[in-house]
Amino acid sequence: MKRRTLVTTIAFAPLVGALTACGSSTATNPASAPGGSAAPSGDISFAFWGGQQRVERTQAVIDLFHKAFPDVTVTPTATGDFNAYWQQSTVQAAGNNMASVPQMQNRTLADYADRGALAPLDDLVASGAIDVSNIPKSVVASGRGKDGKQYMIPYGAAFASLMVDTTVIGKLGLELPPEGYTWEWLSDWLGQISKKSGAPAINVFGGTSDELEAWARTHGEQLYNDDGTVGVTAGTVAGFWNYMMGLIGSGKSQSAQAGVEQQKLPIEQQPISQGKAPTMFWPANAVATVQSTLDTITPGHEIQVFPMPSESEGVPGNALWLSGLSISKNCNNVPAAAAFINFFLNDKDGALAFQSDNGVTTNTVNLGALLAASTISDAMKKQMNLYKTLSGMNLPPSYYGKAMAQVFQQNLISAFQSVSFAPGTVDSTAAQFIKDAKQATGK
Amino acid sequence: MTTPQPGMGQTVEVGVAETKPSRLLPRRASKSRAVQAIARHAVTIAIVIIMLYPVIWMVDNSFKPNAFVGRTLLPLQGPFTLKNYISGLTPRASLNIGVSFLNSFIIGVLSVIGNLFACSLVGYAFGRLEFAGKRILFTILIGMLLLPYQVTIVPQYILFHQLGWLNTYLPLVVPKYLATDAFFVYLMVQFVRGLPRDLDEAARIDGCGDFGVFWRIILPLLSPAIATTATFTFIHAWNDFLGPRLYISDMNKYTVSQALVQFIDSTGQSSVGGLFAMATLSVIPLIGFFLATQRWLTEGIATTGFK
Repeated sequence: MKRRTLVTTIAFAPLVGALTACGSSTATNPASAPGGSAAPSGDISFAFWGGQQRVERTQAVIDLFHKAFPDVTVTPTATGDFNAYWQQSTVQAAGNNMASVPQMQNRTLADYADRGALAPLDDLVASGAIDVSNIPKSVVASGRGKDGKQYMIPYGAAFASLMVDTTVIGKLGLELPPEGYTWEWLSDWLGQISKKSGAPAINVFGGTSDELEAWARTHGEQLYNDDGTVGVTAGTVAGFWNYMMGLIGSGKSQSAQAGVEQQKLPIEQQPISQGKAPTMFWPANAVATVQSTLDTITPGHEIQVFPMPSESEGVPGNALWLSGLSISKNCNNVPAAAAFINFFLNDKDGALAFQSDNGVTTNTVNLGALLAASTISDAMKKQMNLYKTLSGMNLPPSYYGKAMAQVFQQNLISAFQSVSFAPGTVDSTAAQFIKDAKQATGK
Repeated sequence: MTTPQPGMGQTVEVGVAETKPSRLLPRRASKSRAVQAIARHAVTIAIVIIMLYPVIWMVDNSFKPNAFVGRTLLPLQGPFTLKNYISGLTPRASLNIGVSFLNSFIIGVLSVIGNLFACSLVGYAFGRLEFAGKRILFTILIGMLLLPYQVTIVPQYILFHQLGWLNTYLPLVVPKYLATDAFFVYLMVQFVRGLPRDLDEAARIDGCGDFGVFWRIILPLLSPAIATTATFTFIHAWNDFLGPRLYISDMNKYTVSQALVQFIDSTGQSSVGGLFAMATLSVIPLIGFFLATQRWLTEGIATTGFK
């Protein structure tokens, strides 16, 4: 038995050794304190979400950073699935082991900042280690937590839009959405499209937080108040769902069943990309993908992006969803992390390499360079120009609190699906949805 | 009809008008065995096609350009391309699917060895041996089956972080050698309990101890449970996404499940055709492993150790 134990141990020892050797060293070399004069050095890790294209463009920026800072090594880790990225980040935050530079979004920032997983960046901004002078102040302010401290520096702005196949609309002899169009105008316009084309004109959007947010903002409310409490009321949610059910019932939009089937489809398989529908609510950063897919299916069609419907004063209901970079509380190489964030935000070559792949760049100087670059597609430039328009409109700031993903992205889907197949329950379901939202946020 | 004559000692039959029993179902059109066989096979094939339709759809769309994926319900319609396979298999800085396949295979094989090693030993101990605390430990084992993963995920992550095992395969493999897959332990326990004790006693008479009985008698008879454990352990390890997602951050160590997710980007550009192509390839090792162990499973069921 002793001999067998020895043999077994010897057999497994290399295995454990090999598996351990698979791991790379995660030790980082602490550099000098923030604000010190020494060049940053050591290792940092950078976590972000995105598919292959995003990974390649991010790697291009990292390669440029390595040339500028040869003593710093950035190890990237990417997750293609957006929801999986947050699941992973949550566990890492609970284990006090987030990446040195985790990518954040203003809509989910509260879940991490309020729980102390992120380090305040105010000192780094004040010392100039992170230069935000070319980013609009209102945009920078969106990266603040409930306590007023800066936890994220936004680098990319995404926003909802009404995508329109202008070629189809032109063939139907209809006008395009005018500046400041309202929800009422939209409903009438969709009715004209569906009547002339004999097909639904738009997707089902009753279970999407993007459109609920626009509806709320055009009715004097927001998803969250500035203190992190739930801001939207049951009456507003019910009004939004009644609007959607009206579109479904009148054939102006896809059916409820089609809405469920299309819920999880990537943008390339959505009806507008396939030439099967002339309009769709979707984030504007997908316009290049929609255009390229449509060019393959039915060449000669042009996609244009328009703001969300407006309230009566003409201010669209758009909110800016800002992706940004943070430094985790457990990061032990803050100077290198700050140098990387500063480079990512401000380096022009880096901006041209990244091509605003995750929202339009918030750096106004780099935005100008991208608009002038021949490497940026016309479709991408439409998105960038719309962002310029929106950022010049003095949109009311948007606030987000805890459990945004759970409440307004997961619960909203199931709540609307129950309403869409049982229309008489709109008011009661809306009331329950808001009640659950308040419980989930703790406020 | 004959009239009975009393006293003559002959039994006669009194004719009774025949009444045929009424049929609930109409008579079958043909009693031909060939027709019955064809009908049975046709129904079976139809059911198989329906059940396999999602796989057929996936394979069909893996040969279509991205823009044409999902446009048709029936296969073999629309443009055909091999670009999805070529581009998916081409190593890139952002993704090397070949390395991911190898990584998943390594984890799968090591997981199978670990589970077979640990679960068979623990199953034998619970199924055959008597020791102090056996009932309590078995209750804890059953309790582990009931625990949702959300309860253990954070403590496990913290444990592995403190051990310095993050960004290695150790968190995915080492627990298998510690019988943490309670389901397979329970499978082994139930199987062992079903084996007759006569062989154990015969082996002990011949001088075998506990381990000798396990190695010479129990383990050969466990082949159906071993095949089941091996098959499902490999499938689970191959398909596991959450574990690798949490513990593996180096993209060169990504498993197949992590690599496949890189083809889809809800915030950017996706390659659905490439995803289907690589998913099709990723299913092949699973089918191969299942077919190999299915034979072993069948042979194990056919033999019992008694002559």
